[in-house]
Amino acid sequence: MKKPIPSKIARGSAELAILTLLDKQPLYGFEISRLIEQNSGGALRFTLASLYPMLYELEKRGLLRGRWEANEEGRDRRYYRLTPEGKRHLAPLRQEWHAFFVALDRLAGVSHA
Amino acid sequence: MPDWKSIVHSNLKELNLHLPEQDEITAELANHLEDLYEQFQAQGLCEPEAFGLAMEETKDWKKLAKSIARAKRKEGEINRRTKMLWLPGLVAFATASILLIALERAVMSRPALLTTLEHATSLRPTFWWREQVFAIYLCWWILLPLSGAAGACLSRRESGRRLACVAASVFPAIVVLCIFCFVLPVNIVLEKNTSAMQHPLYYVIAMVNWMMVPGLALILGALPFLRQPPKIQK
Repeated sequence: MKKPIPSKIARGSAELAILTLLDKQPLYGFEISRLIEQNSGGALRFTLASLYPMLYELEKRGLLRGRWEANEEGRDRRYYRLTPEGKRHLAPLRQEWHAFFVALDRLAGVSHA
Repeated sequence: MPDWKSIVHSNLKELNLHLPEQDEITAELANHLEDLYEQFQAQGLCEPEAFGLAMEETKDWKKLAKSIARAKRKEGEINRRTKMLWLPGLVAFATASILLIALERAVMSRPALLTTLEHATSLRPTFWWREQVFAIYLCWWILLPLSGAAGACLSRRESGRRLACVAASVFPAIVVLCIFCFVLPVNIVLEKNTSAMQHPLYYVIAMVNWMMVPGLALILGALPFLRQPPKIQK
């Protein structure tokens, strides 16, 4: 497992990480947090305290919508889905991050590949 | 199994949201802690260890309550609309007005400049008022794309969609349209001004000078910003 990325950097990337995951399938908070940690090899980790304010903020901005549904075990969980607005928002967000990494690579030799 | 709902409920007393919303948040956070607790137990940790690690997810409940309250606050929507529509629109309106006043003062106070402009605008339509008035309008229309660009640029910076950008850029023309829609009926119906009915061409010219041509010029200025993708709010 990689060393976790400091919270200030991780917080900036949270929006992209969450929207990317939800673009594939609806997920509830715990799953989002687990998948981010798992898919980033442990480099990105969002605790309850950092994840939920971000989810509520994105929901308020209309990028995702939460709805109570039963999970595979029959327990009620609040599943988040990307809204059409969220889908539209994701493409330029990816481009911005790509441009950011390219610029950083040029500047400091930090490759994102 | 710990009673996660009551743990979260007692720690998030300061949220001060509407009861159904607060209950929903409490249930969601309690579910998260419950899932985490079960995951730790599945990994072989004993109950107190699993409980302690789950509770470490939130070291500062007051800070969490504040963050959630801030994220849930509905004023954000109003602020965003203000930033992407009303403020850029007002900037476009203010710059358009300042440009017109400045041009009027500059042209009227300098006879030499006025003569040059009159000469330059010698192809004006014959019914178009006095020469200097047309000269001022012409200069204003040429400069108006700057106002439209300012409105669209500010709207785009705040993630405004195309429609918001267009509305912000043509805001000065919309204001004039509203004024006309109000002034004309008041003039005719309330003030019984018959000249308004006798000379409808004046109103047509005024609409063209103040609304239609400026509207087109403002949109022209907004065009480069409509092609760009909206900037992302972080």
